Amino acid sequence: MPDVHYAHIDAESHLELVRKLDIRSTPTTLFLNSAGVEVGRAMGTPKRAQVQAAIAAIH
Amino acid sequence: MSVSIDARGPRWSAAITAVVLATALVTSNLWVIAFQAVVFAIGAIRGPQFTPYALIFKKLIKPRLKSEPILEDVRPPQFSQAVGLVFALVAVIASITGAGGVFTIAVGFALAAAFLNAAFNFCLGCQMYLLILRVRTAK
Repeated sequence: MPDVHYAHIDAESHLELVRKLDIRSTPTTLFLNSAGVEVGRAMGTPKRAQVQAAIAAIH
Repeated sequence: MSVSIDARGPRWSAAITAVVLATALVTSNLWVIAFQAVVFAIGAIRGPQFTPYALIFKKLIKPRLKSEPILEDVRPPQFSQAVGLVFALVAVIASITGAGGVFTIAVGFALAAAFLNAAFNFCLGCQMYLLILRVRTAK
């Protein structure tokens, strides 16, 4: 999926962002659409099906 | 970037920890809880991937697992080892001073947390970790 971009952000070095986005535990995956709006999130390691469903919902 | 470890390791370690803590609870034996305190100390200071339980996982269990390894940040599980260490130390002191009630509560809490981790892959200490960091730095 070439139109999907993945970015890893270290929570501990971005605690301001952690509070702003209300991240409660690591890892948390946020799914953003092309406008940068959050359309879903997965707490803990996301399952493959979870990622596919989230990406399908964005398209 | 911090160190990542195989997330299946801590769950295995939690299973052994639960058995050891249950043994401590049933026998009220000082040496059993003292042993677990040492294991927690290694996990808290050096890292959860260096405890004797983690070494058993690495040598015997991991080669037999078919599931894909999932990597996780070492810091939350390392923090939960420190939480375990606090409870184990309280239990050790309670055992030495003959405070049976305190011993039961301290071991009981640690056992509950280890059981949650082993049975449901829910690491209580890990959940607390980021929340504590958030609160501590929210000034």
